[in-house]
Amino acid sequence: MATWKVFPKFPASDSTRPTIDRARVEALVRQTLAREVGAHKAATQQIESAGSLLLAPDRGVNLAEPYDARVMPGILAATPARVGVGRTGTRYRTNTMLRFRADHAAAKDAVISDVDPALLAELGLFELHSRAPDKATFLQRPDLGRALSDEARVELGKRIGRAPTLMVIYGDGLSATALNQHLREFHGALLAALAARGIAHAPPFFVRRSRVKIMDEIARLCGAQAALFVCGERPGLGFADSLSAYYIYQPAAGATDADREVISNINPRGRAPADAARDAAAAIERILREKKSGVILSGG
Amino acid sequence: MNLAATLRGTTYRFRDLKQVLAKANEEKSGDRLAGLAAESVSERIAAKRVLSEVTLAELHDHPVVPPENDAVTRLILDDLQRPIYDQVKSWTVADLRERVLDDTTDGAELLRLSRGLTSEMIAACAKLMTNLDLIVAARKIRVVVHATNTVGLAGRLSVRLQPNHPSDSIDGIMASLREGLSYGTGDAVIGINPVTDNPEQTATILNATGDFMRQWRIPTQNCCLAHVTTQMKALEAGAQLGLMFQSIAGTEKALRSFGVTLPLLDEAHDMTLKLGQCQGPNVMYFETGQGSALSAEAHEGADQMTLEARNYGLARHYRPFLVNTVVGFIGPEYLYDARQITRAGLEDHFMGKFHGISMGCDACYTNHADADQNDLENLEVLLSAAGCNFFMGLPMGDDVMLNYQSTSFQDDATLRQLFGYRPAPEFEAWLEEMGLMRDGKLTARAGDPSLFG
Repeated sequence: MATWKVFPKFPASDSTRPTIDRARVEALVRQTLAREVGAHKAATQQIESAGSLLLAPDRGVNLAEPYDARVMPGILAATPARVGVGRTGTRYRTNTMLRFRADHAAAKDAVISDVDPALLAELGLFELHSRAPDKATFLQRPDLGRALSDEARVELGKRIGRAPTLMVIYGDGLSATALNQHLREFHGALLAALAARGIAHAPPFFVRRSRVKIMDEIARLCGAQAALFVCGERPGLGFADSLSAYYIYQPAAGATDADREVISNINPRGRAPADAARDAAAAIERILREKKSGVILSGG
Repeated sequence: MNLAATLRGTTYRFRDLKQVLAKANEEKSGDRLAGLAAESVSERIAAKRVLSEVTLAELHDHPVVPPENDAVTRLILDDLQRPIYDQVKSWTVADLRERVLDDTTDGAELLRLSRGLTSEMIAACAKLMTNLDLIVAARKIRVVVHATNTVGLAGRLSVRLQPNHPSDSIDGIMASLREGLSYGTGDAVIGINPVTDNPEQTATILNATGDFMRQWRIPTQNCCLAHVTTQMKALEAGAQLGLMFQSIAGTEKALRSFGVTLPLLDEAHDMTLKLGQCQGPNVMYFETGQGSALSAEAHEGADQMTLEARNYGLARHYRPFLVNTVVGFIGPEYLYDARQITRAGLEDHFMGKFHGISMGCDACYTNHADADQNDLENLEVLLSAAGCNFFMGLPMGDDVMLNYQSTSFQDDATLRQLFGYRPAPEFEAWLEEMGLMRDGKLTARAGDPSLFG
């Protein structure tokens, strides 16, 4: 039977011992920060947990005594994958399991939560609905998320004048979190950039439970020259707040993804929302000038 | 052919056999999306009742896509062993199901029968089976294959090590590879999904893993899951390629949307036997999954489970080393929740095994499906009980390139320990030599990637 040499023994039960050793948690956080931002900054950085528990780091830390300590930093630096997390028996260490579950929770919440109506009101966006009546249907029937409800079509006719140059449309896509966190910054920068370039646009709005191709139907109904559609990307584990911005020139009835261009990975770690908004405005000026779209612009 | 059944006074009528096959399916969001699903639970059971009385000859004569329109249908019909088919053609699907489950029918007999069965017959049989039926039947069948090592022997469970990296960094791939090897995984294949699909990148990945395997004398095979034409270019240019990979689909039209034809697969197979690194005779690796033809708008009006069976009918022509369904990857439009993913995983595994192929499963889910880690672990246990040849192995199951969650190195080690399964024998001997495994159990040093410094 194997015996553990790499892991400390589980601490013996001791009623006077606090459940969580805060000093140990902070030491671990400092250790990780040292790896991420450099030792000096980590030593001076205030670790503000305000009396609450932080998620304890696991990569590398869980293997207290690796076989070859010299190669471990290189392994950890080479990939964002969850390596060097060790095990107890053949199962995950507790900090690893909780960290994973927390990351998955963020992704799940991003999918099932809703874009905040107060945010839409603050930004002056009116709201329409797709044909998908609820989230569960939306996830199972992409076709319903690509079409406006009957009421929305009527509303669109009232709100939007004929043949606008550009329509600015927002949708929840697969992450409401992305809009809740970054829509304010994106929208502000977009309006400024469009104004600076002299690009006229119809009043911007939000379509609840919508998917990318709904922009084609909307642009056709209004006779728009171009349409911009910004929505939340499918969340990954640990990053649930990415937006994508799609734009297309005069979509025909059978328009495909090849007729569309996209700026993806819009978030503070990827392409900053304000930068992405300025890029989108520049690209829209181009497709209006060239009267075509369809060259794929890779994400940041 | 009778196309109606009466349940509790209500009669359900069906248009044709294709519709019966579709409506007999357990609930799947993809069948609903395609407009093919049963309208009620009772209609579903009525369809199963009708299907139970259909003969194998009727299924043979009515493939879901006509042979004149579809090369996959033609291949499946051409590959049938006629004397065995003649022996079973008068059986009903109910007869086939009961023969499959009968205690006197062993795995060898199932593999013999399989040579006379089309994919539609095997799919029909699975549609009449419960989850436990699917487990018991699959468990009987052993499909043993050989490339560099041997996968599929009784009491063995292998793992595809999947050390993907979001920008194809070789150091990053090697980091996850080291971690996986230290948990005893990688005996099915070391297989990387590249971000960039070109021959140079493919060759770089193949040669880096090939060199590592040579340096540490690891008895396994490598693979880079680029498009088949990309791998062929890399192989012709001298890359160290073990297995030739391709995603496949159950109709000719869907295959074409993947940029694949049967002559192309013939050429790739032939080239790998001649230029690849493995002894063989099994050198191909295919991935499948219910819903792929529908998502390519090439399902020809057929249901996703029957088309999945046809994937295996296509695959068996090439005697692959590995085939796995990527069961939860496609998303909730096709498999909505854990119940549907679990059901599809068990169906695919049984149908693949019954076709006589070395069947594994990428037990997985995406973040917009109604499933989580606990559901994934349940499916892994069920498939281990069913005698699955291999699972995936990733750091914590988290694919940082493809953004979905699959089986972790720790899960693989747990399943082996729980069921008393061991790695492929050649690989187990190597793990013993490395001091990572003793008597089928991981040693204390296992789980430490710095061992391969």
